[in-house]
Amino acid sequence: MTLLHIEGFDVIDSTAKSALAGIDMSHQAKQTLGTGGSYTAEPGVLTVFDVAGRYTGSTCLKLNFEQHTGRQSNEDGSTTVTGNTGTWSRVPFAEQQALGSFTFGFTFKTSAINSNFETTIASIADSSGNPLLLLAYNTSGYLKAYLFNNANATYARTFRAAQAPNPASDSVTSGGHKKQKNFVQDEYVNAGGSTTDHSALGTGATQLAADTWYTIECQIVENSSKNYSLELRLDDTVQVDSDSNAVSNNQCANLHEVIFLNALLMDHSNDNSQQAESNHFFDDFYFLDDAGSNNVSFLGAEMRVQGLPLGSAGTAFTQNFSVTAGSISGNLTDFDTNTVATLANPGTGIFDVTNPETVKTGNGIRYIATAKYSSGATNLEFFTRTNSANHAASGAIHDGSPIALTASFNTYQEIQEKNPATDANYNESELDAIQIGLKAS
Amino acid sequence: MAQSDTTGLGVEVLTFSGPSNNPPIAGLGVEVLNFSGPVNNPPIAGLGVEVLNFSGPTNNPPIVALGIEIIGNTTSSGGGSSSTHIQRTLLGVG
Repeated sequence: MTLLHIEGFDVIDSTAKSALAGIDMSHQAKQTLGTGGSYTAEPGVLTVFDVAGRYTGSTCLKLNFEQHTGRQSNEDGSTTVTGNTGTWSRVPFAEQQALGSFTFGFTFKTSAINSNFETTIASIADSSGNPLLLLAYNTSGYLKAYLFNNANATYARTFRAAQAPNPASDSVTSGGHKKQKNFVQDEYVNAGGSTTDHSALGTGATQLAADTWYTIECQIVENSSKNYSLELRLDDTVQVDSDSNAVSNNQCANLHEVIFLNALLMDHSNDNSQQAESNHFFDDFYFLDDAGSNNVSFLGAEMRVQGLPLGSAGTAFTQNFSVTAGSISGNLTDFDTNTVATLANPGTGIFDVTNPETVKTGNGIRYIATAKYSSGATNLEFFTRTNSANHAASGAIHDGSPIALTASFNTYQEIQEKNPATDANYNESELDAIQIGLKAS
Repeated sequence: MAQSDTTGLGVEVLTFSGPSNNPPIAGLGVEVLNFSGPVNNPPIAGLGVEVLNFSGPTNNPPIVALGIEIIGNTTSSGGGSSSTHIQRTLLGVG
């Protein structure tokens, strides 16, 4: 099992739901200003879900680079400045991994190319947020890739909520008169270990156009400890290919999360003037390692991640669910803890799911459920009905073991590669007919 | 159903009235006792145990969300090309 996370942002459709225990996405908010500071013009909403995704009917994650106006008052009066607030979303993988070789990909669109500063897109980081790599595009819209190689390249010294007193400080200033907020500090973004050399591993040859969806994929091969080769592709075309980079000072200790960004790459003490606003859109994310023989490398530009809603109310299904309020389909797909369905114990509930339409082959399925036990120990298993038989979903997260529920609602996941009935990728007819559900015991 | 001599066959159904939060299936046991009966006794052609109803347990888990995502390819061939990096690394010529 090598597929360690997929995210289509179709099922997780709000910041509140993305922060459910078990999913735990977090999103960088506007800076809270300290004493004497205020916004006379607030930055707009930074993180948006449920906006149109790459494919018809899909939704995606939208990160906004916003303008704001801040004011700082003191004994001598007040200072008002215009500036910008970027943002980022930290998306933890369903299954954390030790350092090693991996490939990740996502679809991406930007509304504009900033002509004054490099703009960051994505980073892979460990469970402390310490980054392994950084992807960005330059002021002409060409992709760039960085590997960190500095002992100071930690989360706090890279992802800045505001200007810092020095590059190695963990703190930032909170004044309303500091112009640029939520940016990526550039001093430790380098492959050479210098605080002044933040040269990239390479720059792509294909120019990004605004308002156009692309598939960006990046592969890291671990040649030895802290020695990596990197290959970056845009729509299946290699943009950066850099082998055998020794980065002994890289601070990333494990493979825990992807950080999606809409933030400028700039100095810790920047005092740059206000920039134009822009939007980044992210969809169809996957992360996999090179173990096994299936899903071990680039999945390609035709890849997509699609949420499949349960059958609509009234669709025939065999199930042992009862619902206290609302409809079964609406209730169970909406992460709505106000309306609860109950699964008979022991029992199995199986639902029809929507036809994925244009998907011809399926590399894997991610199952997501939010549940708790009612009054005592209860196990839960994800279930698939395919090829006229029931199969408990087994994957890298729970390794085929039932999930022990707790007294509180928690969100559980499993990712299963291949069709368990055939031990091959799902074909189109199998995907069209698939049913999924839960088993309690 | 034809009459048959069931002498020598015993069935015990053990039911436990366990804590209310235990799944009821955990408290069902079946023992089949086999006796080597006389040779002129007819064989038992079938034995079945049916459990018709469980009283409603109190530990039915509440579920508030269930969803799936698939990762797939819009072409039937599926997937992109293999990694040049991995190939080079394996061959040692990268």
